[in-house]
Amino acid sequence: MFTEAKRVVRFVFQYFSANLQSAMEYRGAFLSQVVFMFLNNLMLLFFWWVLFTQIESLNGWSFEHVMLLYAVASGAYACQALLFGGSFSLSRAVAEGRLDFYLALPKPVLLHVLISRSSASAWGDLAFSLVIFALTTAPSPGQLLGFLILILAGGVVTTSFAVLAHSLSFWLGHSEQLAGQLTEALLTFSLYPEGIFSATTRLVLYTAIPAGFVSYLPVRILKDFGLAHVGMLLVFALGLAVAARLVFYRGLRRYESGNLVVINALD
Amino acid sequence: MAVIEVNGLHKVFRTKAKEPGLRGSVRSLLRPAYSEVVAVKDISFAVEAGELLAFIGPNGAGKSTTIKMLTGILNPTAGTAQVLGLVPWEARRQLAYTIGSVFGQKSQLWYHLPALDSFRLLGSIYEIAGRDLAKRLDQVVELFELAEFIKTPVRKLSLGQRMRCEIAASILHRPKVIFLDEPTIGLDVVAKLKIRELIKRLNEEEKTTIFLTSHDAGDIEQLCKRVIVINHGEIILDTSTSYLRHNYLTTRIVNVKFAAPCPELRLFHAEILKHTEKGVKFRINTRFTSIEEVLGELFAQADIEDISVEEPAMEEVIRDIYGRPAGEGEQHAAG
Repeated sequence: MFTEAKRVVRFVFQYFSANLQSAMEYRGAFLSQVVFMFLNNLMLLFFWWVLFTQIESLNGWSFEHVMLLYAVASGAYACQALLFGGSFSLSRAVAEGRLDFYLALPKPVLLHVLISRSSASAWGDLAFSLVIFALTTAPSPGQLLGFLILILAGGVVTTSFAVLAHSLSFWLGHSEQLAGQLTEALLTFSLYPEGIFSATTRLVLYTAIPAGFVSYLPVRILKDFGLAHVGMLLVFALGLAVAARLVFYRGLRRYESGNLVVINALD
Repeated sequence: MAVIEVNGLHKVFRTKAKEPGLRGSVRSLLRPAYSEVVAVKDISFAVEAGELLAFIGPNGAGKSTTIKMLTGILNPTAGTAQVLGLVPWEARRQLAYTIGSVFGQKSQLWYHLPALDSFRLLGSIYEIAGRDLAKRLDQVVELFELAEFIKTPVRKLSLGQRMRCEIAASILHRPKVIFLDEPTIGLDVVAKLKIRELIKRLNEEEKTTIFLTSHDAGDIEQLCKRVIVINHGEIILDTSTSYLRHNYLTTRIVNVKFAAPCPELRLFHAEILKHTEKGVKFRINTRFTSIEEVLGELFAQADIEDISVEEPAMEEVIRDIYGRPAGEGEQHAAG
């Protein structure tokens, strides 16, 4: 089992490295994407700063909370985009019949599709996440490691959610836009403080659109560490990943049958 | 020993049927109707180890569907198949270690990186250990003559060079069977010849069984000893290439450019398709007339600047097979 895990990590790393090399082929484009993504995130945070010069707190959320929220959410998004960038275009891969390529190779199809792409601009998100976290917390190495685990868990949640949303295309055909809207909703909710939402909305945000596990719960863990919360987060991330895998492979059976609405099955 | 055995393989797709126009679209949205398309119809054949087989047919004939079933990408509706003793759609991942595939229109190379980087990544996908991979890379680079451009980003390669890298990428793990789907598509004459030469070497030197689909009659004539022709999902001919060559690949279209105007031309052994003062285009059937004979007639009447010969289109060959009297187009034992 250890050898298998080592093999998987090596496989993921090699794709990650190939994607990075590929992005760096165009030095100017790569650097500008990274810098502009960093500035873009900073600008969003600036609006919150302006708001917090007018008010002291927002239902218990201070500007520092919001900074942490941004650090955690952009970190989680960066993990998804850097490691599992294929999750953003999964429905297109299904619709265009691009899964054939992965099906013909001896690696797990879902993992292979997910790691096949990586977004260069997400390095800007990651840098932003780490800088903001450092500014709010001045972390010790242990805290930094804890933060990395939190954003990685958040990345597993956003990736699994994207896999679920994009897997709809196995049943609905061209559902790229719908999947895009769903994943966008998760990102948007992850960037607003939990305090502004009603109890009902919060219920949705801890279930159907799990922004709670991408940013609210990690922020709570960072502000007030509790093992129960860490356990909840990890169990949810793992559970969602298992569910996403299940749904994807169920859909893949339809792909293998060649009866997908979107597939041009004949040569 | 057969490495591919196919028995009664059948594939039916369910597709949405829609009447034309907006009304049809609305109706289809409210009450979708489906129709069934038979893509592969009860086909059976076997391929022996080390064979170089052409599997040909026009667009939509069922070639790719068959390859997808034999590589485990698609499940059949009925029938059985074994590739190297494995049922492809049941043991797809296990089979993937022993077969290779190249789909001419889909690349497996990283566009912005040198082919060497893609090869290393594929080495890791096929779990080839470091030293073995280095050794294998040397062999493949030599076999496919890639040394000159292996470190050049793929986007800067010519189509022919890229295709050499594509095929090389698919044999890194020493597959016993390789499926080549239109490997010469879009290539110029010189690049085509090179790819054919390399495929032949791969078959001879590594004893790889090659299952080749192509639209190009030249690929088949120059590479394969046996050919299976498929149309509308059915095998309509399973024969030796020499039989196909002598009986079906017999028409040639010849384009001639005159060095000096030649307003009058009479060819007794060819069918003139177009004749102007500057040139002539004619069809001959090599079954009844030799090209030399017609060229002799031509040289006697005109000054020739340039001649090019076109091979028959696959559609024409298929039409010809159907056009023959019953019995002639049936399965022949491969020789």
